[in-house]
Amino acid sequence: MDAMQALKEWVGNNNADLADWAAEAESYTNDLKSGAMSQDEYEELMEDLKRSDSITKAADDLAVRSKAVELLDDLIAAVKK
Amino acid sequence: MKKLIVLFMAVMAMSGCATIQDAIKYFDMARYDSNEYLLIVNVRTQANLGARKCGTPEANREVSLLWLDTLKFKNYAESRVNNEETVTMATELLEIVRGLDKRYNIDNKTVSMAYCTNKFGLIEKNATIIANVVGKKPK
Repeated sequence: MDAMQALKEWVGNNNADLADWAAEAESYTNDLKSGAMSQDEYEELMEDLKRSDSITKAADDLAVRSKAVELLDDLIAAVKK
Repeated sequence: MKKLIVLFMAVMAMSGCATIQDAIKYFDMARYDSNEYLLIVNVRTQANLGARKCGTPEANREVSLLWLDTLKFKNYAESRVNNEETVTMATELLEIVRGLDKRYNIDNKTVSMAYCTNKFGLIEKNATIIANVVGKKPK
């Protein structure tokens, strides 16, 4: 496993855990079936889940990049000593 | 000299980049900014407050405020250099909010309670995810 992959696994899981979009999709489908929301409202919310998935991926990328920069800052500080 | 070689190797490994130029670009990121953090916390807060107004005449105003907060966050994120991930998140979030604003304030459609609460809930959840990572950018 390369360092980048290790770093991703280390910091990349928190957002994915929070973003349980499959559960949201199931809840929306139940609302549609029960008549609590219209078809076009349902379709919009399902599209939103795709956007939410993009947000989660970008959040994970940012978390990894932030951690890598922090580690580099620490390494630079150690080299300067 | 040894320390510098170790540092160089660490930089290349952590960035996952093939060239030095790519690695430098990867590590040259927009750092923590209290204004950016406040703006996304405002979006989260407004989404929370808006959900409470679903089914009331005040919902339109809450949606307008949410649209304004989200647009401010996106515009601010875009004004910062090397801020690609945050711009992606802000752009997607604004598109989610756009649908809500369109129904309430442009098309003036009848909106179901389920749509309203689900939509605000989804926006709040996304804003929380964004706030968590924006707040942990390196200082």
